[in-house]
Amino acid sequence: MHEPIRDNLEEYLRGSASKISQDFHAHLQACEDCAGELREIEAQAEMLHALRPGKEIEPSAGFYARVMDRIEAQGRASIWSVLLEPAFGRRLAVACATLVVLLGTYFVATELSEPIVAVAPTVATTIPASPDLGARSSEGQAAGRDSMQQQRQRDAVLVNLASFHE
Amino acid sequence: MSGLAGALPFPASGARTKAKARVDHRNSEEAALVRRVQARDEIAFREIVERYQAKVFSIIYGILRNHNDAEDIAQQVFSKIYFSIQNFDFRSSLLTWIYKITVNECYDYLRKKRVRKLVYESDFTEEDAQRMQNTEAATDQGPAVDTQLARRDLVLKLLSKLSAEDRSLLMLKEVEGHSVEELSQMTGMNENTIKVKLFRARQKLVKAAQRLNRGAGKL
Repeated sequence: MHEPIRDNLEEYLRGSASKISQDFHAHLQACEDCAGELREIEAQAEMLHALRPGKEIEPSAGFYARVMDRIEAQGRASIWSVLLEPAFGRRLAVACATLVVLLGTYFVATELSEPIVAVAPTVATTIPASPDLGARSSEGQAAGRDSMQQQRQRDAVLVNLASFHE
Repeated sequence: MSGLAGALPFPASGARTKAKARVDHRNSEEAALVRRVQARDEIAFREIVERYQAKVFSIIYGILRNHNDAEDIAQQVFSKIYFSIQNFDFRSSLLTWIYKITVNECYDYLRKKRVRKLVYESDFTEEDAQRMQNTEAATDQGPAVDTQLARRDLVLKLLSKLSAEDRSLLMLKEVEGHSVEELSQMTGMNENTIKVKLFRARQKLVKAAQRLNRGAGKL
């Protein structure tokens, strides 16, 4: 549809002849395409008038009470609407996303550290003859002996304290 | 029909359009009423229901032509208004907002009804048949009624191809009879935008009707 028709279309459909420019009628006579399209649009505007109610309709008495009943019934069942409420829903989504990121980070971190722990005993058991490892095990035994001695000393102190009271 | 035409502004009419005083929907008596409802004032909500119930009923009845459906959908409309009035942003008039909700509810209803009809088509009882015969006898005034019904069905079908915004804008113009200037005040959009939107909506309707005719021609 060309400009002279498009510009005046709403005025034409409304029947406001005084607001329609001269170009409109001149172009309409010259352009068959625009004339055809305008006829289709006019027919549809006419069809839309079929949706006019004709008269104003009042609801039957007690309409407000019935509306409130429905609101109450829908309000009771709308616990999910709280979750879907825009502001709360946004916060919930951010919290969920943060939780997912934290859990993801945790799992990735633990998965990365796990192989080191798992490999160490295998190496220790498969290469028992290594002199370095032997030295390490003797160091461990010495540490164990020290701790036993410390424990015994602690027990002796406790016994002394108990007998001192008596 | 030019595809570009719809995307272009309307310079000539824009030049002619005088600068109109914008309606401030934030500082009106209606806005004060809405704020009271937003603060969960039930007296204010009752006022809204009583002020708009006849309008809502008329819109629904115009689309569906059934009193029982109109009551049910009107209740649903006001229930929706109650729960979503917190989101009303005062960019348009309250009536425009209510109009859009009402038309959307009608279309939701029609969609559900179409699905139900497909599922329960076999539930057509003897009583229904009798009632239909009586209705036909009572309205036996020639083909005019049938033609009107067919026209309404067709126009509802065509309107379903538009977006909710375009649909309510076109209906406010053609069904409610508002002028472009009034629509501009009601929606908060300028007159050129209204004209462009209306033109595009009309083009879509024409194309949808052509497709429908082509489809019918193939059968």
